[in-house]
Amino acid sequence: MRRSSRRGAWVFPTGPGPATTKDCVTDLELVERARMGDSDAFGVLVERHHRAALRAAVAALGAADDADDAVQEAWIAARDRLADFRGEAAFRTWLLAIVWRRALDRRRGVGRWLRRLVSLEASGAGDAGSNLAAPLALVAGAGPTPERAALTGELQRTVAGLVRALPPKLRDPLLLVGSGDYSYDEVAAMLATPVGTVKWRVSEARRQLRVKLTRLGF
Amino acid sequence: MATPNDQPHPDLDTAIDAVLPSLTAVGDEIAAGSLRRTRIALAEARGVTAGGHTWRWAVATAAVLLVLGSSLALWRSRTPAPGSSVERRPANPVVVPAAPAPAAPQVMPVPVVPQRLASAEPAARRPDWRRGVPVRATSAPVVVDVPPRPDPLIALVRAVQQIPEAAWRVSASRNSDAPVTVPEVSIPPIVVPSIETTAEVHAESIAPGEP
Repeated sequence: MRRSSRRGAWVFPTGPGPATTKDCVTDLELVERARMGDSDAFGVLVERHHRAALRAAVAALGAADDADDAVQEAWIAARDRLADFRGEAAFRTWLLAIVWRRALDRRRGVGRWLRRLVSLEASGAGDAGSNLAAPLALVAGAGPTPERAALTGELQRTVAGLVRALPPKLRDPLLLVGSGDYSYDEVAAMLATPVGTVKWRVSEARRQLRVKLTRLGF
Repeated sequence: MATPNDQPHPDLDTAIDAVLPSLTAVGDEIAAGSLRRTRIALAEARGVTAGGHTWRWAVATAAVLLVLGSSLALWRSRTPAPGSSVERRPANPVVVPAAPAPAAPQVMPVPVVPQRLASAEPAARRPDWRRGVPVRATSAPVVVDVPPRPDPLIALVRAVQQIPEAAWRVSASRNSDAPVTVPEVSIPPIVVPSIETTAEVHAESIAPGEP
């Protein structure tokens, strides 16, 4: 039994080598193994980054079902195009860009637009921010001693509606950055825009939200 | 009466920061289910891809076989059949057959052009008939055979030289001896009136150098 000088891991001559323990293996090594046909290595990549991919798709689509489909398509596309991954960026960034493109394709799809239209007609709401008068009325009629928790809950619902009502150019970076899962560089790679543009859009989205909330009386 | 100061005024940025992660939050159950479905989809896609590859290989093989079969059929159609009348000869024959005798020249009747019947009057030309001008390519220089025109000065000199010397002298002497008559012209005298100045020019009013 000897200690590997490269990774500091114990190497057993007859036991399972480091190739089978993929927990400490980097993404690049997993990608190399997956390129050579190791399906388990790609499975580890899926397990590592599936949640981040799903969250990005939810940010783009808003619905978990659509996001699930988009992420599945993205994973299949990533495996088919694994040979194109040159390692210039992190695998996670490369994957998130694919996920985002797939999610945008679904968002622009006619089928999703029709489903959304049907659901909006069923709920009787034409806009995500159309129910903003309710919390305002609640605040106005709350009396001199309203409960802070109730007001905060209404504020959060209002903020959620206002965020969904933002234009996609401002909403997408705001949601991605606000989720806390992605760095500005990753968001910029996903949106295919410079980092400075992403920062400006996030700031502008926040400013618009503050203005609207102030007008609503919060 | 409630005043704005009485109302709780939570920080808007804090509220926004609290709301944003929840808009993209994914529950553990949802994430686990999605991961499970993704693995199944990947496995199915791999099978579909493998099947697709098999199908593509089958199509490619069939196409190659079809091309080969067509080429073979064409080649066989141009190659004579074993039972045909074409004689097979060895590649290196021992007896070289003599060259065939030259065939006698075949006498062919010379085509005779029928004589034209001479007519008394030429055939009438069509009204739109014009003398044919040879049309040539614009890039080729057009050479027109035009005879050089005689120089009139040379012709005059030659004509003068052909005048006999005696006649030339007689004419010259006749012209020199003939009196020159000049008609008289009467010119009336030109009367110029005297110029009178209207006023004397004072010498003081003209500066030196002025006209």
